[in-house]
Order: sequence, then C-alpha cells, then structure tokens
Amino acid sequence: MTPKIDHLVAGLARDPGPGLTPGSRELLDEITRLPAAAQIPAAVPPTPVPVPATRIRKRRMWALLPASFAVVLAWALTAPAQAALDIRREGDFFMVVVKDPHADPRVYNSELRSAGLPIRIVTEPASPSRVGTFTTIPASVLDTTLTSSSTPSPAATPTGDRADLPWQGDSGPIGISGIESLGSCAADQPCVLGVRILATTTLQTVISLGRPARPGEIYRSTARLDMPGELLHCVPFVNRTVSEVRSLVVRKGVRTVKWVDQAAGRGLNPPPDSWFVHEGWPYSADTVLFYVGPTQTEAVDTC
Amino acid sequence: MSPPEGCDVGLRQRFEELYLAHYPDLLAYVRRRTDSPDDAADAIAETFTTAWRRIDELPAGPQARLWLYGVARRVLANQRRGESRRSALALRLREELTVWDEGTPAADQDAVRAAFGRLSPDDRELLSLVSWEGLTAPEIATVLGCSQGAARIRLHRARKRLARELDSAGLDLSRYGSRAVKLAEGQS
Repeated sequence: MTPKIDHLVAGLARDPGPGLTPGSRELLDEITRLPAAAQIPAAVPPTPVPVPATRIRKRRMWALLPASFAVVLAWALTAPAQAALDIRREGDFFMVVVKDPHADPRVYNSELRSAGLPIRIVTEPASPSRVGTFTTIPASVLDTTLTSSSTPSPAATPTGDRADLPWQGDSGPIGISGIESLGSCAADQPCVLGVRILATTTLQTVISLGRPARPGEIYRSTARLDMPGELLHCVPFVNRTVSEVRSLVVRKGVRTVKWVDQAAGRGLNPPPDSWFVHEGWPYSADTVLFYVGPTQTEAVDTC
Repeated sequence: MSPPEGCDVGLRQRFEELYLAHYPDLLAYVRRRTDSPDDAADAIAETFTTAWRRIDELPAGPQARLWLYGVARRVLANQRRGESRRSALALRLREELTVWDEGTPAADQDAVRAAFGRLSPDDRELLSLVSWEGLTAPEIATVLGCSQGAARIRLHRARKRLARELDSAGLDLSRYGSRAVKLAEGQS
C-alpha cells in the first residue's frame, strides 16, 4: 500500500517552479539589507532579574491624559540617555520601549539579556500605519525543537496548524502568549515602539516591530494604501483611471509610481492612461505601487 | 550583489551560500502549499528573512534544509490566517512566479486530489513531506519537531487514512494506484 499511496500523492504535486531567477537574487539582496540578529543563548530560559519600577507620578492633570501618552512621557523623562531600549518592570509586566529604532539588533539583544528577558527584538521599515505594530506574528523559538530532540515543543502536538503556534493558544488577558505591542503610530496618539511582556513568560521569541522608514528605504511591512493612517485613506482611487490617480498621488508628494498589471502580474512602464486602478500599496516613503487593469474591478474604496 | 554597508561579510556569505543551495527546494515547498504566486512569493520572502535574522542558529549541512522547511511551514500557517503579508517585498519575484504559473497545466488527478483534500492538514503535510519533498521519517521528525517514532506512526496512520478515503470514494487503490503511478512517473 505504502508505495502506491506515496506515488498517488506525488502525482498531486505542482511543479517545483522556476528555481533561481533574477527575482530570487534580487530578493537575496533585499533581505540582506537588514542586519542579521546576533546570537543569544537559546537553550536555557533566562531568569528574570528585578528591574526598578517606574516612579509613581502623582500630578493630578495626568489623570486626564491617555494612559499610553503618560507612559511615553514618563519614559522620555526618566530613561537612560544611551540605551537603545528602555526596559521597566511595571506590576506583572515588563514594558520595553524602543528608543532608537535604527539600532543594531545586537544592541537590543544585549540590553534584553541584561534584563533577563528571553525575547529578541528586530525592527523593520514599515508604512505609516504599521509603525509600532508587530510586522510579523512573533515566531516562537521553534528552532529549539529542530536542534534539540529531547524536549518536544508545542509544535509536536498533532492537532492541526493552530497547535504548532504557541502564541495562538490560550491567549490570556493581554494577547499572544503574554506579549503585545505597545501601540501603533497610526492613531492620534504619541508613537510608541515597544512591547509589553508578561513578566512570567519564558517564551523565547523574536519580536519584529515596524519602525519609520529612512528615505528611499523599501517598506518591509505595509497595509493597503486606503487603510487608516496610509496615504490614500478615504481618498477615492479604486476604479479611477491611471491618469487620474497619477495626478492624485503626485499632488500628495509621491515621486515614483510602480504599475502592475493585476491579471498578468507584470510590471508596466507605464500602463495606458485609460486603464483602471484596482488596488494600491505603499512601497517606500516617496513611492507607491498600484495594481491596474483594462477594466474596472468589483472592489470599492474603503470609505 | 555586493554586501550592503555595515553588513557582516562572513554572515552574508554564509547566508548567500545557504540561500542559493536551498532556494529552489523552498520555492517548490511553498508553491505546492499556496494557491497564488503572490502567496508563494510572500512566503518564500518571509522564510528567508527569518533565516537571515537567525543565521547564527541555522544548522550546517543537510539539516539547514529541514530547518528552513520548519520555518516555511509556520510562515504558511500565519499566512493562512492572513497575518503575514509583505506586499512591497519581492515584487520582481512575484511577477516571475505569475508568469511561470500561466504555463503550468493542471494535473488530471481530481479524485485523488479530492480524497487528499479531505485529510487533516497534519496528514496532508506528512504525506507531502514524503512524496513531494522526498523526506524520510527521521527528517520529517526534525521538520515537525517530534520524535522519530511519532513521525513513523503518524505517517503510517496518514497513509491508512488516505487509503480509506480513496476506498470510500469508490477508487480501487490497486488499479487506480497503478494508473496514478504511471501518471506520476510521466508514462501516461
């Protein structure tokens, strides 16, 4: 039975694809433009060490401010001048605020290690609405299961895809395995890059946070152009013509527009002016990307 | 492809070697588990971005490929929940995969495909790792993070469940199997 079953399944496989292509080499360059994270000891869960609690501030007027704004001000006033991160123990949590979003991840890791925190932090250039958010779901240090067969991890639980994602389990009061981002810069509140971590967590994970992009830097995490906080939120452009939308974004300071034929998946330089815009994505601070086609789409503007 | 400013040349070189060695296998892995070229491009970009971040943890030799499969598997799980998407990355790759897809005829294996689709995601993955990636049970154990014994037992059960699905769909495994074997081997 076994060979036949395996051959049957083999017959279902799609072809392996084009292999190494110019696009794959371009991707290699894109990836290595980011700094690689430095090594931290992964086998032994670190023991949390006490971190001084934030001083209690009693100014009555602060009660009127949003809590997150008060936190930001407290950090700004009391954080060490040279650190890339500010790590504070607040009750049952560690609050980790990224002070220098462009610092080398090795600096973050060193400071996290010093505080006894098992996580690592990297930052990635993100479009405006993604700054301050997790740009990917925190990846469990699944690799301990790959290098150490003696300790089964949740990944070994044979109950479906969700079972191999420890942060998708019982999320508890503050979300994924006791880790959540401090907030996004998209809202009308002060921008906070950081995470709040349940002090009892021993989960080893890499947190990837969206940071503001440098000029010309390609975003590595984006929301659609019409999402809140992005360039064309509540600015109608879906099913407008290429020429209309080109004028629109130029007025908004965009210097370069990338056009992609949505059906063919090919870049167009430029598309016919009469074609219609289907979907837009931020690309970098001064560049946007639109998917276009010769006919209108069923999609509509978000507002 | 010169190293970017500030990049550790040794790390970059090691990553490039791993990337060039394993990219085709990883591309095949994600293509076979995604429905669109965009999703495949996103998944492979995310997988290798994770590998670059963890270059110091990446095992040497053949284990690297298994490690990368493990990462890709979790990236795809995230992607299915709509929580992992990087529209700005790998634009050119996305275009290439779309063009490639246009020339790929669909296989005529509807009955088997339907039976396979009725299996649990875990069973499908186990059978796929054997038949698509050509992994052995010990290698599958590494990818899935379970013991070798558990991998063998789960694989055995998955094969039995697929056989049962084929049987309940009225497919005679002994006869259909031989035809499918020919199809799989390109002798039809």
